[in-house]
Amino acid sequence: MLVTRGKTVLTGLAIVFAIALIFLPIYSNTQAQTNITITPNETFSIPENNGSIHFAVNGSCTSATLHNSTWVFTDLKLFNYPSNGTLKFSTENSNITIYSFRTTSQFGRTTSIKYNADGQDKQSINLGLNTTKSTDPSEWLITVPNGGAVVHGLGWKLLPDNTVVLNGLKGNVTVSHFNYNIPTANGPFYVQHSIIIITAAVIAATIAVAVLIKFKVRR
Amino acid sequence: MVSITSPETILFLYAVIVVAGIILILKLSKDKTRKISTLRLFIQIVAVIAVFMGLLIGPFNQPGSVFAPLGISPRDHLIGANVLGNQFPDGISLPILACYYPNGRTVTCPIWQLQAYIFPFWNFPIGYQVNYSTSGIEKIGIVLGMIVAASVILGRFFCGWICPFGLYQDILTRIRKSARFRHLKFSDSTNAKLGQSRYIIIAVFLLLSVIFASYAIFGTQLIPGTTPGGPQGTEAGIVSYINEPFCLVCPMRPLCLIVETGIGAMSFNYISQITYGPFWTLGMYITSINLSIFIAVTILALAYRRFWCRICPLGGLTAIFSTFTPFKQIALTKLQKNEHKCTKCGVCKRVCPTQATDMFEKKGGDVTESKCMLCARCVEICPYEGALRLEFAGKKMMESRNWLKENTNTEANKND
Repeated sequence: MLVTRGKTVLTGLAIVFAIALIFLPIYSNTQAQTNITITPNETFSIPENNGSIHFAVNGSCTSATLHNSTWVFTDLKLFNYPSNGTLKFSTENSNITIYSFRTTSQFGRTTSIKYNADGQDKQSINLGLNTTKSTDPSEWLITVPNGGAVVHGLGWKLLPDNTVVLNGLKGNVTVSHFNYNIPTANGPFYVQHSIIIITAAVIAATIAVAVLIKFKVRR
Repeated sequence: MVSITSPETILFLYAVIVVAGIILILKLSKDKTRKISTLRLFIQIVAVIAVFMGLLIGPFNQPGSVFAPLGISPRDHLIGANVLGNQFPDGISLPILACYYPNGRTVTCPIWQLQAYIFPFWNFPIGYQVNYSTSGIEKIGIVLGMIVAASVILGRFFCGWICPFGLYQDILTRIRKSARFRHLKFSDSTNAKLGQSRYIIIAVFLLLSVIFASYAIFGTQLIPGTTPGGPQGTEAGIVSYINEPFCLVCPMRPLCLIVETGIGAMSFNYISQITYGPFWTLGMYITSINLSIFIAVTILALAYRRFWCRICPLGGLTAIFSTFTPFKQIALTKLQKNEHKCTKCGVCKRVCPTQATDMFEKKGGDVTESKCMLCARCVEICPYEGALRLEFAGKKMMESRNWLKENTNTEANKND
């Protein structure tokens, strides 16, 4: 009986070992997927647009390719921030210095990029949002030096594939996407104004409970 | 693996410390006269940590120490923002001076919100790193709704037990006491006038916001440069420096900025940016006024207990919704007096930090008045069993007790 049990245990261990041996190389391969190191000295130029991109901090990505005058950085990771996915950046007549590219998912649900443009021509940026849907311009915030926010249509526009096209914005620019669960403009009234409806309900409930307690205490 | 600095671990440890602390205070100080004061101080500290929780559990998604700088702007890492989506993205309003300007806060000062939603965000949808989907009037409705609900439930308990600026003033009082200086007192008439000034202060500043927002509300610009949508459609321009006019003189703003910069949780660049900016002369001038008021309030709070609370417009707003009819009738947190047990010794009046008088002068019943912060100092110090008590929803929370007799008995037992 004991011998049989021992054999079963040994067989089980052997299977686990075999599975581990098979999967280890695959896992290692995943881990060992070659990363391209990015340093501040490196320049990613776009000759046909007379533009260039470089990073102010160290980072890495799995691939960096120039495609249709756009640099595509896959699994871009800057300055120890977790990878955000793919950044697509194109610029015309301007040298770009990227300071940060990150997503805060714990509470903020925000994806943002901060960069400096030394020329005022066009930039096209796709932050590689984890969505296939078109986002609403009100989910985006573009700020320029002095903390000013730029109105949609007056310095930037949003394309259906969530690419932000900025025009004439020079200096330190921040492009952020806030993943609010925004009710669409065509959504029902109660969805668009849910917070004030809930607030009114909370006040009504508070006053009702308070009045009830008041009567109960009086009795 | 859950790291020691992960938000979940910190929140769990925080909750454990809070519960253990309250239990310990209630158990260990069972026969102590200053049990309520100790408990209140503990809850004030707990509340300040909760209000600025972002300093503990930030920075998010970023390796580094707990107190690594969060960012350059107040909204860089703001917990509590975005909870209600972009209908109301600036954070839940609580009637305490949870200043808008520091990083990492969890709730927001309603005075900032009331002003900001009049000007510049009455119908201008873009704020600093935020896009509003609701109109100014709707957001103001939400803020007022939250204040009404909070005031009906706890009233000025927020001022006495939770407000960070209240804790600051209590610390100043403790410093004064340790230096053995006696506090000063206003005459009753001056104190009453200070109390009334709260309503004038809030009315004046909200009126200022309405004047600034005249273009958005009435279609006529009364003050040049107050049309939201400056260069490139931004809200920048002169409007950046006169937005939320009360905040430009509020003593809580410099306190928060000084503390956060001091502990390295905020970049000095941000402060210099809002101080100088393109309108650096105006910015510097406003900041000088703000700092002067902060210093003046600090000196006055050293001399007069809870000086700021006597003129605080937010305290006034909370008082309106908790101590004035019809809200007074339904307010859940109250100070009650039993006139049969009161001997008119006047100790309650003497120890009240804001020099409230109703608990002494009124015959009995509900003695909560607009000056009363429900700090329960009078309940703690009253030596007559059951003469004063703090009630919530008709249930006794704290009650005065004959601590003179208890102390005598304890002394007698020791001597035995």
